Amino acid sequence: MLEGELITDVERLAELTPEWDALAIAVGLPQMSPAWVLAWWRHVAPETATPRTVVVRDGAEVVGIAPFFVEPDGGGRLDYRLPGIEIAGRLAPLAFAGREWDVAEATAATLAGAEPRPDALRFDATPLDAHWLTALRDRWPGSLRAPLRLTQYEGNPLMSLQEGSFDAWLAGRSSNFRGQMRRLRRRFADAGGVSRLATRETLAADAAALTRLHAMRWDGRGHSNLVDLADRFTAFVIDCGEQLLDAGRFALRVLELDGETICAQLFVGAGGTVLFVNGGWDERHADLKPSLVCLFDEVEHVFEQGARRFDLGVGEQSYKLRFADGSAPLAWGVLMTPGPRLPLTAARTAPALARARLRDSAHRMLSDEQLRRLRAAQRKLRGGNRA
Amino acid sequence: MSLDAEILTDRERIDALVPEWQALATACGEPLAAPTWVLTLSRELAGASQTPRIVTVREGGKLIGLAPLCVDLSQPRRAADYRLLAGDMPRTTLLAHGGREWEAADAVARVLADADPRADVLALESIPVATCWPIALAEQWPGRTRPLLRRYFTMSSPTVAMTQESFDAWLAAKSSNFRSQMRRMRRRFAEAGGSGRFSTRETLHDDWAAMVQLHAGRWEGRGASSIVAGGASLSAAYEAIGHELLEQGDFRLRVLEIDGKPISVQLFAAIGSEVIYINGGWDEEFAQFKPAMLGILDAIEDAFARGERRMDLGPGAQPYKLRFADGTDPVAWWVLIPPGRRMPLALARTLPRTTWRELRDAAKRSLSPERADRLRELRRRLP
Repeated sequence: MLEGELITDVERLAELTPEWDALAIAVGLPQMSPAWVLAWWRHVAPETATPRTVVVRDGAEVVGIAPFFVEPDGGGRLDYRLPGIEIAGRLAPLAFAGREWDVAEATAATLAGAEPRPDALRFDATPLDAHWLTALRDRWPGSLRAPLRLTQYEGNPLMSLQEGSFDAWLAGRSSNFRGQMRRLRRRFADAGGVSRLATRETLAADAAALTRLHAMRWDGRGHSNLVDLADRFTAFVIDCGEQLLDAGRFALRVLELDGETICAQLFVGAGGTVLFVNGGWDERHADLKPSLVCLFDEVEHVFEQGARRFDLGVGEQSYKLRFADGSAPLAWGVLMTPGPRLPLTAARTAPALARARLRDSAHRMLSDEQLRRLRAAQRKLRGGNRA
Repeated sequence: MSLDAEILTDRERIDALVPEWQALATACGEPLAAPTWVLTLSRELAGASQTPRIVTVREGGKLIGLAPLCVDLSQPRRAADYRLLAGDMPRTTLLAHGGREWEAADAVARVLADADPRADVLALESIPVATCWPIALAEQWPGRTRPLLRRYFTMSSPTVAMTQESFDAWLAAKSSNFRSQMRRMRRRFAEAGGSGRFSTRETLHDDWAAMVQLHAGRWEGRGASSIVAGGASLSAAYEAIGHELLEQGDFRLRVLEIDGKPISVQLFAAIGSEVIYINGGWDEEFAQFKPAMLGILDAIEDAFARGERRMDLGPGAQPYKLRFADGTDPVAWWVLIPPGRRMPLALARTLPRTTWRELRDAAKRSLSPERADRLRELRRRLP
């Protein structure tokens, strides 16, 4: 039986960095690495949030970490969540391969006795092909099994990088793709464009450019968490960069034209996996397709680094699909913890479940055009409500 | 590029698929989803009412996904239950290249929704927990209504990670108690004149007969065993698989003998860098040598020598498996009921099976081990 320890302050979390990072590398989840999560705590976490991280040990060895956090009960459902959904997806606890169920059991036993007692574990963009949802549900202590409700699924394109080199990968793509990419690179170079990676010296300015360009892209297009975070996101990127740049696990790629940044994209790595976090570009240069050029350059860089998997992040945008050769879908869901408050938790969860059902039915029953009209009407309604 | 899915029912076309299927099973590291196991067992064992429905998913001609299903027409009211072929094996699954499962499931769901006969139930039994296949099939099943999907049973499957450089390094990382027990067992067995070997083509027939006899002996008075119940036809199937796969090392029968007499026989399957323990039997007269543990220890040493990376000890967390294991990769049982006018009937038909499993699970969670044992004993006594 493994031992679970509950950690409730950020300083104590930081002390675990070496063992924690070893787990993130073993699993290949850079977005769950200590550098990333601790930077989240410093710059992004809600003011009232406190850690409820479970560290699981087998003897003296740390074999799993579940870095949950909680916000005080505001009268609603008290959720324990994993940090970072504002910035990236594929959020999951960490455990060495094969130990997930043991770690889940120790985590569940520890969380069941935590204060304040969780009404639910909420999972945002968690991998569907992992053990965690099932293992935490099945191993939650007590005579009742914890009800698990999944509300949403989303694709997450991947590049397997199995070709071994950039040239071999490119040779395996369609001639149309190869032709377009070469043409775009040439056109960008002919215009005097430069592609480079951020260094310690340029990090602050490049991070600010990323935030600015991302905000420009989203202007009038809906909601982006990164736009909401604004300067806090910039600070987060700088913090991560300072910790990970020298280890070659952080890449902020920048495209410049006449000394002006026209595109910036953020990547982070661990254990052979590189994650494309997000980016932004200047629409005045749309003809140069900067996001495609930037991603293409980073693919070449990732092959040079010897990475084994390129995770293109949540969402199946068409530019990502041009590069991807697979997908590892993500799920959103709620694990309701058994106990006297379960009926209340179920009642509080019901509206979200009903909305999910409704959304699913709409997708199944309506044509693409009808869906588009429905979404437009929804947007108008929300705008009207805000006004 | 769009994916093309097709259902194969014709034996010749299924046989022609074998090389590609084998390559896919190897890429997925799933020994018991390899065509030799699936096709041989299903052909020897399936009744006339079960016919194969192998769904292939191709991209530009290349096989990227495969659902080795059959349809069982023996159910009442002409119901058509689809399930995995050879679904009685300890671990089986649908196959797709890494990262293509969701897309492949979409193609499989579309072709199954139009299949003849129409699927009333799709049972996915003993498939890995860490897979997106069941949810991907349900989510992408075409039509205005989502199918009902229920996971009703999960079983632990202990695993041994063989990430160390050698068997000795692996052993060195285990507890001193484990090491000394294993060395003592091996020494005591050798002193008693014991020896171990793997079956060859020449010994396969006799070794399998010994396996069945020893397995039946172990199960006598202990409940039902599919190997015992399978009789001669199952034995013929295993022997056929053995003849096909022995030389490439994908079928291993570990035999322990004392004075030339088999006291333990254990069956393992392998593919790529993955090995799975399927079943075994041993003579209780020689219980003091702990033959089941000795056989597994030998198989682990052999797997290290072959450069394999993981041994799955099969579903069931028996104490002897847990001595070796350092992880688990559980399997789950799912049922998917497609929407349609026969849905209520299909639900009523599957409900007793799923509810029974869930009741057992609830009892396990609620009762103390002693009470659970008493309940089990009571059940055994019931006619």
